[in-house]
Parts: sequence; C-alpha cells; structure tokens
Amino acid sequence: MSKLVGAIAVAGGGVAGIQSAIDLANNGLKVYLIESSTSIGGKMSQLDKTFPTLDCSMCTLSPKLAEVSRHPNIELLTYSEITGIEGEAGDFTVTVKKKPTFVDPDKCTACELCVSKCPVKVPDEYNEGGNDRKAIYLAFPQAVPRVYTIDAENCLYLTKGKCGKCVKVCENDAINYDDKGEEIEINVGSIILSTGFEPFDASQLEQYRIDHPDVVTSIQFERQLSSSGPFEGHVTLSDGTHPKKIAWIQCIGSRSPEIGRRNCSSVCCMYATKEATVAMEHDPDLETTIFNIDVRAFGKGFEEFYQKAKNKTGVRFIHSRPSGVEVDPQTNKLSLKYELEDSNGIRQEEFDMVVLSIGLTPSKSSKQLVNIAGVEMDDLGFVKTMIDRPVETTRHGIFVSGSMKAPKDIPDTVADASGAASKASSLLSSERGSLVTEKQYPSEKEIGDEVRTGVVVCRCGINIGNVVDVPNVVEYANGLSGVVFAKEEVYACSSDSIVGIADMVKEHDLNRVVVASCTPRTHEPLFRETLMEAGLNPYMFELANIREHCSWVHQHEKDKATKKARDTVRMSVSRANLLQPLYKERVEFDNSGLVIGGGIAGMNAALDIADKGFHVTLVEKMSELGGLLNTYTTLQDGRSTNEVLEPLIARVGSHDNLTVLIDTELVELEGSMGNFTAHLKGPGVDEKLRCGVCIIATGATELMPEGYFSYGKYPNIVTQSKLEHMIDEGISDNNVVFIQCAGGRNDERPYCSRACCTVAVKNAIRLKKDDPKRNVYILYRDIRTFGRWEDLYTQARELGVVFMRYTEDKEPEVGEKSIKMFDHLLNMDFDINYDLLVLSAPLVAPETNESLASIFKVPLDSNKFFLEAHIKLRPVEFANEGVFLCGTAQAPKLVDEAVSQASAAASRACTILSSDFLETIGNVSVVDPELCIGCGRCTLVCPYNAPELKEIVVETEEITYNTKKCEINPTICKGCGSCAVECPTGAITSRHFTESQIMAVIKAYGEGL
Amino acid sequence: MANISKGLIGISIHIELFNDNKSVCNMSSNIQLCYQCGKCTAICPVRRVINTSPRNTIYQANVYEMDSDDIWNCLTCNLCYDECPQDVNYPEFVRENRTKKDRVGAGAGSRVAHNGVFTLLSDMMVDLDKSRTGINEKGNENSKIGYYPGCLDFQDMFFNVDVNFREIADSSMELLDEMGLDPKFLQMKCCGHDQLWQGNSITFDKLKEQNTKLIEESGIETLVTSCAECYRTLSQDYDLPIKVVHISQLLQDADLGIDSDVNVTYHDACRLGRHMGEYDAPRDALTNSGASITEMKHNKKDAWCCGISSMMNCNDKSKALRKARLDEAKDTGAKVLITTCPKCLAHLTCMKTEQDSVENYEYEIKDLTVFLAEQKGGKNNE
Amino acid sequence: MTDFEPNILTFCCNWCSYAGADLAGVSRLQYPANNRIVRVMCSSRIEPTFILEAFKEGADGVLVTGCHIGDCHYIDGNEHTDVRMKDMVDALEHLGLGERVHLEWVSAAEGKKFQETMIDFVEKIKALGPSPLKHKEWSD
Repeated sequence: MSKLVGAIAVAGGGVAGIQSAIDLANNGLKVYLIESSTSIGGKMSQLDKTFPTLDCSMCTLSPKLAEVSRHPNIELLTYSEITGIEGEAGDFTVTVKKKPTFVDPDKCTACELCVSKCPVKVPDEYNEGGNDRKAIYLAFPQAVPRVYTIDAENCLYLTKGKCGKCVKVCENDAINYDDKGEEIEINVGSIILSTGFEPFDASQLEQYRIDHPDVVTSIQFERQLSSSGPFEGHVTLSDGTHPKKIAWIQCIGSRSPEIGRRNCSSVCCMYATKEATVAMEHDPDLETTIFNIDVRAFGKGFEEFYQKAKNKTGVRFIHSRPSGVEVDPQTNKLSLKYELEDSNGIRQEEFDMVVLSIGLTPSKSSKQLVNIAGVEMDDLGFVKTMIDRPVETTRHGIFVSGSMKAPKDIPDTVADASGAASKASSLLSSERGSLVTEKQYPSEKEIGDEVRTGVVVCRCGINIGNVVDVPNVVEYANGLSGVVFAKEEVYACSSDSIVGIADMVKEHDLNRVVVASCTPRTHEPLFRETLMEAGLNPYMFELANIREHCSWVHQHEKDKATKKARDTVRMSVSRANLLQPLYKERVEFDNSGLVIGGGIAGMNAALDIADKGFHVTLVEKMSELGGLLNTYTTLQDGRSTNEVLEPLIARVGSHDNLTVLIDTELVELEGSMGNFTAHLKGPGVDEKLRCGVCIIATGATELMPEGYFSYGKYPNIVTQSKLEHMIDEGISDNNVVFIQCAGGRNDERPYCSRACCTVAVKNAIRLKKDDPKRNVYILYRDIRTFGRWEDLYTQARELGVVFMRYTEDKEPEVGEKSIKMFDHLLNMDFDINYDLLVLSAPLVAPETNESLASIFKVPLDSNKFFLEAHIKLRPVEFANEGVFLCGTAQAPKLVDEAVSQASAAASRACTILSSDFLETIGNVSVVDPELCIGCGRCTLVCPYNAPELKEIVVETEEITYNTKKCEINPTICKGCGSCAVECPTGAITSRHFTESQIMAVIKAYGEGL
Repeated sequence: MANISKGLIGISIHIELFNDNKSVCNMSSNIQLCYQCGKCTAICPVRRVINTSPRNTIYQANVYEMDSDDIWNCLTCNLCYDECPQDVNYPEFVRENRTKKDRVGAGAGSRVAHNGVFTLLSDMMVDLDKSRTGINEKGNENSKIGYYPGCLDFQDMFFNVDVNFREIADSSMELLDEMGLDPKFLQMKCCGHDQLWQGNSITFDKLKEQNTKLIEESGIETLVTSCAECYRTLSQDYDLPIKVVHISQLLQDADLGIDSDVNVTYHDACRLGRHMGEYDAPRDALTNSGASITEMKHNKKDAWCCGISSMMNCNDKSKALRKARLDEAKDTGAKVLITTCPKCLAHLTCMKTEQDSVENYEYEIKDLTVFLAEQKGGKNNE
Repeated sequence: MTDFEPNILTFCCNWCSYAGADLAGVSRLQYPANNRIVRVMCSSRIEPTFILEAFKEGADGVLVTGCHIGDCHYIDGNEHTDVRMKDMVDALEHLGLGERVHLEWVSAAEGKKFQETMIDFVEKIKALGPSPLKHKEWSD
C-alpha cells in the first residue's frame, strides 16, 4: 500500500456503526459515520426492552448516542448515502450524497415551533405508523443529531409551493427551502459496512393478513409496548380496547425457502418471548401464545429466559405453525388454525391480536451499498465472510459487521462491530492520531475566593417565555446571594448567545455561570465548552432545567411555573456558588497486553493487539496452542480445523510483538487498568509481568456426560468431538443415533450450549456423505441451527438424516443395542437400534474459572462462565476497567463468533493502549486519608473496584499501627458517588456532587417554602 | 501568645470574651481550681493519638479567656476528671464550652460521623410529636417498670456494621421478663445524649422536656436502659422523679438460671463506668451466670476507650485507640468481649469486621444482654 | 385543607429518571407544579441526610427515583439505593413521616410514568396533609 489515510468511513448508524465509530475514534482514528436516516440509533432505538434481562433499550443506547455526538474524532453524516467508493485499502475515496434537510443545523435550536405550526401529518416511521408525525420532524425525542428535517416528499411548500408556515414561525431563519443537499468526497483508509437489516415485508405473505389492523408486525408491537410509543405502552386494538389474547407467529419471512428466505433470523424466538413476557407484565390477565417450529433460545441466558416465560410467566408455546390468519367476515375477529402437537387434532382458536414475528432480511440499500463497495454476497443475500475471518469482506480494506452479514442479536452485533473496528484500525495503526485534532482553549483564569456567579435565563423562543415570566426570574436571580449579573436570552444556545455568554464572563469577571434553560443531558456539554472558551473551568457551570421540567409540563399554570423557575434557579445558584474547578488527571501507564488462554479466541485477540503495534503476552496453561478447537476436526463450512489453526499458530509464533508462554498459568494479579502486574508461573517460568490490559480467553470444555443416556456404561457411546476423530479415521457403523442436549438444558445446567445443534447437523451430513446408505437419527428437543446454519439443517434432511423430537419429561432410554424413544407426534414408543450413539454434550465452564475470577476480581454467571459488564452493549468487557473477555469463556459459541469477539476484545483493549496517557473523569470520588479508617465498606459498593485497600503505617503521638486505607483509583472511578454514602466517617468526597453542594441545594429549596 | 500557642494544634482566637470573672467561677466544671499539674494531659487517651492538652485548654480559658478547638477533640471519657487532684471536671468544661457559643452544636460540624444522620434524626424528633426511637413493641402497658431501648433501631438502619442492635432490646425485654419484671416497652424520643455533648443544648432541652412528659404520662416508677449513654443522660442530665437503672444493675443479682462456662472479658463503657461509677454490676451479672472474666490490662476506672463518643471524631487517630483496646482484649484470650454501650459495640465491631483486615480478632463482641440471653437460650435448647 | 399544595422534592438520577422527566417534558405531559428536582449522577449518591434535610426544610413529600433494577448506568448502584431506602422508610416511620417518602424506578423511556408518578404522589401527599415539620423554627 502506497498511502495510508488515518480515517475510516463507517456506513450505517445503528448500534453496530455506533460501536465501530466509538472504538475507532478512541483508537485515535478519524471516523465518518454515515447514516441514511435523519438520526443515528438504528433499529435498537425502536425497541422497548431487550432480552433476556428486559433492560430498557433506549436507556442503554442513548448514552452511546450522546458519546458519538460529542466525540471530537467522529464526524456525523446523517441523512447521507454512499454513492461511490474508489481506490484501494489504505486510500479509498468515498462519495457521500447528503440529502437536503432544508433546516440549517447551525441555526436550528430544536425549539419545535415549526412542528406545532406544520399542517401536514405523515405516518410516524419511528412508531411504525402507529401515530402521525409532521412533515418537519425529529425522528424521535432522543434523536442524534438534534436537528429537524423537512420531509421533502410530504412538505406542502416543497411539493405544491404553498404553506411556508415553518419559515414564518422560525425565529432563527433556520429553514431553507432552497437546500439542495450536497455531494462530498471523503478520503479514508478503510471502510466498515454495517447498514444492518430490513424487517421482512409481511405483505408478501398475504395469508397472514397484515392488512388487518389487529395483525401487527413484531416491530409495530414493540412500539406499542414502549411507553414512548403511540399508545404510551398500552397495547391497543384498532377499536381502542386492549387485547386479552395475543398470538405470535414465528418464522414470518424466515426458514421459508419457498419465498427465498432460507435462513433463520436468530432473534425472533427471543424477541417474541420477550414481547409476550413484557405484555404480561403490563397486563397479568393477558393470554399469550407463541406458535413456533423450534424455540431457538441459544444465547447466554436465553434458555433460562424461555423456561421462565414458559413455566413461571405462563407464556404458551406451541410447536405448530398456523397456516394463516383467518378473519371472520361477520365479526372481523381473528383466528388461527393449527395442528395439535401430540395428536392429529386440528384446532381453530380466536385471538384478539396476532403479532407476526418478522425476520431479518438484507435491506435494499445494503444491496446497493454492497454493489458500490464491490464485495461479494453469499447466496442468502448477506455479505460473504469466512468463519475464521468473520468481519472481513472479499475486498481488502472493507470490513463488515452486524446483521448485514447474517441475522444477529445486539451483543453479537456489538462484538462484531468492535471486531470490524479492530481489523480496520490494525490496517491503519501507523496512522493513528494523524487526522485528529485537539481543540485548544485559553488558559484558565484565577478563581478568587469571592463567588461571582452569572445567570442567563433562556426564553427558548416561546417554549419557556410563553409560560414562565422570564424578566421576573431574571430580576429574582439578580437578588440571589453570589449573583453579580443576570440576563435573559431568546435562545441561550444559539451561536450568538454563546459568544454573548463568553463576553459576559469577561465583562463581569464571573467565576461561575448558571444557565436556566433546558436539560443538561443535551446542553451541558455545549455550555461547558463555552466556559472553557471564556477561560473558566468547565465544572463551574450549572444548568437549571426550566423547560423540560417546568414550562413544558406546566403549560397552563404560568404563575406556578414562574415560581418553580425561580425556585429552580435559586437551587442551581446555591449549588453553583459552591462549585470548584475539577481537572482530569493524566496517568502514565503500560501499553502492553496480556491474554490468558491460547485457544482460537485468545490467539486472535493477541494477534489483533500485536497487529496494532502493541506488545502482547499470550499465556496458555497447556503445552500446545489451539484450545477447544483441538478436540474437533472440522468446521461447519466443511474445512478442517487444522486449515484454520495451523496458519494461526504459525502467525502467533512468529509475530514480533507477541510472546507466547505455554505451560504457564496466571497465579496473581495486582494493580488496575493501565498498570497491572501479573504473576505468571510454570515450569521454568516465574515472572512478574507488567501490562496495561488483560483479556480472559480461557474457553470452555465439552462435558463428559457421565450418567446421561448410559454414557460410560456401554462402549459404543461417544461425544461429538470423539465422533469427529472417528469419522476422520473411518467408521463402519450403520445405524448412528445422536441425542441432543445430553447433560444440558436441565436443572443442573439450565443453559443451552448454542453450538451443539450446528455441530451435530454438520457431523450428520459428514456421516451421510461418507456413506449415504447409513442411517442417521437425531433425537432433539429443539433444533437450534440459527442464522445461516439453518441451511445445514435443511441439507441434512435432504440427505436423509432423520430428526425426531423428544421432550424433557420423556427422555429416550438407552439400552446396550437400542434406544427406547417416545415419539410424541405419533404418541407411540419406538425402539431404535444403534451401532453408535453420539451424545451432544454441552460446553461447560472450566473449574478454574472460579479461581481466575477471584484473581481478576470479576464475576461469574450462575453457570460459572464469566459475566460481562453488560449483556447487550458491553459483551466483551468487565465492569472492572482494563479487563476484557472473549470466546467460550463468556458462553458457548461457534468459531466465527469467538473470533469476532476476540477481535472485539482486542479493539476495546486497544482503545486504552492507544492513548498517550490515561485520563480520569473530573467528578471522581476522593478519599481524605486522615478520616479513612480502612473499614472497606466502599469496596463493597463500588461496581468497578475503584477503591482499593492499601496497607500503610499510621503514626500517632504514641500508638503506631499497621492498617489498610482506601485509595480510589481515579482512572477507574466513574463518579456515581455510592461510596461516599457508604463511608461512615465522611472521608470520601464525591466531587461535583459533594455533600455540601447537595445540602446547599436542599437548603435553598427550603428557602422558598 | 506566640509561646503559648506553639506546639498546640487548633487554637483559634474568639472575639467573644467573658463578661466577668464570675462566669468562670460559676461554671460547674471548677476549672478555676486548676493548678496546671498536667496530670490530665498525661492520662488523656486522646493525647496518646493527637497533640492535645487539657491543661493548656483550661489554662487558656482561665488566664486569657480564650477558646481552644481542642474542646472538640475531647472524648469526655472522664479519665482526667477521675484522676484530677483538684476535681476539675474537664469533660463538663468541654460540654459547656461546646454549648457556649451558639447552643446549636454547630461547632461539631463535620467532626460528626455518619454524615450527622443520628444528630439530624434527633433534631427532627423535637418537632415531630409522634416520633419515637422504638416502635412496634408494647410490652406490658400497665407495668410500673419501663424499658427504654434508646436509638437501637436507628443504629440498625444507619450504622451499617455487622451487629443486630435491635437484638439488644429484644434480649433486654426477654431478660426482664425472665426476672418477672414484666416491663413496659417505653416509646419515647431520643434521650439527647449526643446533642448534649455535641453542644446543642437547645435541642437537648426540648428533648428532655418532651421525654420527661412522656415518662410522667407513662406511669412507670422505674426506667431501665440497656445503653450506658441513655443511663447517664436520663439519670444525670434529666431531673426525673423516678428511678433510672442500667439493666446490668438488675441483672447483677438476678437468678437467670444460666450456667455458662464461657471465658469473657468486659469493656467498661465510659458512661456506665467512670461517669456513673458502675463497674461491678455487669461483672457480677456475668460471673453469676457462670462466665469467667479475664480482665484487660486497663479496666474499671482505668479502662481504655472505644475512641468515639457522641459520634464525633471517627478517624485514623481514634482508630488507634480502638486498636489498642481490641489488642488488650485479644491478650486476655477471652472468647467474648462484653460491653454495655451500643456505641462501643458498634465501633469496636466496625474495626473487628473491616474488609481485608491487617489484624485478626477471633473473639466475638457482644452486648451484655445479648450474651446472657443467648447463654440462656443455649442452655434451654440443650 | 382543599387548597393545600404540597411541596415535593424529587431526587433524580442522571441517566434514567432525570431523562424520564425530560421525556415527560418533550412529550408535553402535564403534571402538577409541586415538585422540584435535585439531580445526582446515580440514585446511590443519595445520602439519608439529604432526605431528612428535605423534610426538615419543609418538604411535604420526598420522591427518590432511579433506573430500574438492571438498568443502572453504574451496574448495580440502584440496588444499594433499594436497600438504603428500606432503611430510610423505616427511619421515617419512626419519625411518623413514613408515608411521605417514596421510591420509584423510572426509565429514560418512561416520560408517561414520570408524569403519573408525580400526579399520584402529589395526590397522596395532599390526602396526608401538610408535613408536621412545616414552618417550624429550627434554631434561634
């Protein structure tokens, strides 16, 4: 490559694109995040809750949206599309067409006056048409960027030349009907494609009657459940009543070769289960039924969630697929006709509402983008990747992540996105920092002892000004203690007001500023920056929210709203008067990595770190690399595992930045992010290694299913991994039977092991191909060949593999030569003779996880796998900063998923390693050592292990004693302040939210009563 | 002046002067009798951990009519008063001076641990007619004997230490029942001990007035407390027309039918011991139940302190005192350290149970009543 | 008593309930103007003394709000809030103010719930009448 450009284009602003952008930007690369709609956030922003923890989707996503919008290294190009890609890896020219928004983002203050005046109503895409929006609109309340857009197709002025109301009402002249959009060219070193999926268009399947108002798609239902949705969270029928009985029909647009949608969509079983669960939480009397083919609850915590829904919540799961939705012509009522599972009976059942669990399909725009990018697609219409290179497309320098390469849930998408970021930044590691600029601010002026606070009260056009008596509030503010100057602004956040605030600081020699306007969640960063430009510490700022919390919610009580605004300003001023400058500390650190575990995940993670130019040590306790994959011989794409492992091991062994220690174990770990000291021991190894980050990739092992299905009792019963070696060596057995879930999905191991169905089907195909006359039976509970691997299931059936379902209450009984099997479809017992019985046993967590968890001070889940920081959005990291995880150490998974996670962990780890120094946040908690008595209660409440007890000697007049005292590591502390509450002696101060500051606010509150 | 202040910490010069020398003479603390022998400083437990001097503080007040911040460091443990050849009551001087300035305890400020939650609670009780420190229990409402639990419930809520404080009340009621006393469970407000010693005499006086009324209305003739501080406060700082006893004084001669063989050591709480002169009752109660007592090196009148009183000055210096005390208890080899003050119990347990501790103390720390109730229960279970 | 307008102080965590209150505003969901908001980063920052002080200052009711369990921006801060609030309610019951404090989880997406919580709590405190601590002199 002749030229390398230290910038990356990320196509798609969903959760995948967002994650890639944040990772890359934090790796010192310039990022262009290109999104075709008006806001980033993607499909996740439309979700109500996320499975299996029922977390609020928007709550977890919106901090990421804010992070993107604030990041100095990320340039957001929304309402934009890529129209051309030229060049080669390292030096691409990407043409981006920016569609006209007709609103000048620099002038728009999001005051919404235009929205209230706009006469046009259009079905609201965000709420899936559940309500209307205007022709000038913000996609959703938390949209980023917060800039309004005129929908050119529906605007009266733009279509018919009439109206123009928004222009008249806009006080900032932000509307520009002549906006033509523009086409720009950006120069980047690599490109990540992550434009996601499109929900299957249910109108293609007429028999499921999406035309009926009470038949909804799952995403429409999701909006119905959301408290910010069209019905404020109350599921509502077309007649305005609430349903008593809802059915979900699975696999609409999935697992349906007849309409060309062969793949399983991976997420529908879980979202349907979630939707049913949440709907029943809203209305406990609701009856819910999910019609399915197999319940594919294969991810971490999914099976447990499914079992809870089935057995505790009372969701009815029926293994049957209704032929269609029938509508009674007289009553317009909905009913479903389906075959009963355990007999030949047919039932017709009425439901008030039917939800179609629509699948994930490649979007049309994705297909265009794929063509523009010149990368290959697979025969399912997704971007083609390899199992061992899961984020690389067929074109060098262009990477792919998320559901653009196969249907995926959020954590897999996020891992993929970080993985793609890792590969993209490895390519450009030499250019790190070359295109990012740091903004320079004037030096801070001296803050004297005298409190000199300035107050700006914002009218926000009429938003505040029409309800709150702003001049009255200004006058009141002028009389408050500490206030030397107060004034009003029409829009405090407009660019001229911002300059005015900086001038005000200088003119009145202010050292603290209070702006009474809107929410700090959107506007605090802007005003803090204003203070910095005026030579004040950004923490000397306080926002009084008199819009969202006052004028907007008390629109008809002007006097009360004015009183509330005065109170709010007084409370804010009392706090502002006590604010102190805070500084982010810069801490030196060691920019090398340590990876524990030399399996495919550990090796990939180590290589990704090494490829970015950092030194990494890979520690393996066994005497050879390869881990779990050594016990298998083939991959599900037909290649041998050696084909993948051998070159990988060779690269690991020869990389300049990589040290491999085999036969070595980690016995102790001290320190924290940036400055760990790892004690490594093994024959001939006893060293203390310094490193900045650690990755746990210690994998899982296949259960030896002693006690299940006569394993160990008869010689001809083996596990899948043993079978693989037997096939390689050649076998002659004629009747081969597989039993799935041998030792899994039971009380002892309630989780699904995710990979076994795919492995079993893969091996069944091999056996059939080896000898087509051979009989292969698979006895299963649910076949979970999710995503693209559904094709393997289909292929196995084509080859004549026989699949028979058993249920957990009637498990097959294994004798020496035959298996007694109850076939519940036919309601009969069968005997199946076997020559070889193969048990699909789950992957289990190694026993060493417990000691490793205590060394790293990280948690394990109930199945003893490592527990990540957040099951959706932080899948490869721990709450303990600087420690990451990947591969089957986190949960059972397939090889491509492990590799993707490995790159993701490396990407996350390198956001730390690639900085010049570690920077703390300003509002950390600090300990007064004289007051600290070393009780350690802070260590019990801190979720990040930021407080550490360190041994010191206390010398008093006569008594000298050894004790431990707490030190809070400012690089780890996140400033929640819980430790300060827990501290009995008042030794801990939660900066920026100190006891005296908050008490002052409460006392100021009391002054107005 | 410069010479005097040298070597002292925390001297602050107040503008406010005494109006006349009479006000000094009238103080009940007798400080005008001080002849600067310095025995107080020599014996002062606080002097062992910080540079404080009762002698200098008294001298400054006597000679220069100057205040010293040193008054805020005092534990008011009475060790100096007990030893003083001139009977100067330094703790009383401290209390008066803490009160003198504003009578609202503002000087205690950030020295008060637990963010002042206990002070705030008792503060609020003054204006809340229905507020009570103990609720949900009545006992025999017609009894002439009342048991007052003190602020045990609040301690369970806000001490956050591995002690079940409420168990002290339950054990006390159980033991009183066992003695056939059939007590009433006295619901009233905070006794005001901490307010008094933090210098908030206004709040204390109100609590005293309100509690006195409640006690009078209750019809009881004897008030029993299990807390050394309540005992001191209700008997010394209130003017109650009825008898106030510490529960150990009833247990002293009681036949509880306990035959314990546990080796214990006993920690004298300053409020029960030196303030009230009660050293024998808790010891007798223990030995009468079969327990053997191994005394710590410093006991009874000489007993060392838990390091905290009136919830003030919890820091690494006072922790040194706790450590010294826990070490002494460890040296006895006793299985259980017994105390009669919930605050000693809280603060000694806090150090014993700290996370990832440098020191290990194997023995248990228990309130006298809980220990006896357990021994009794244990026996019955056999 | 009919014209009694209670004073409510509400503690909001930055990430969920404050955002929920914002969303109520964005959605123009009207509720009575009786509350004032104190923002903290996490509900686990709320000291018991903050709540007591609010009552001492004359609040008729105190609302503590945070993220739903599992949604905490700081992993499990709100679980500590949950535990501490049980003690707080117990303490206020001893003071005779137990019904005047309430803990509610409000997510960033629950503008409607924030509105409803406000309406319900104001009604509840109206029914209880003014706090016995109202307009008391605290020091001389």
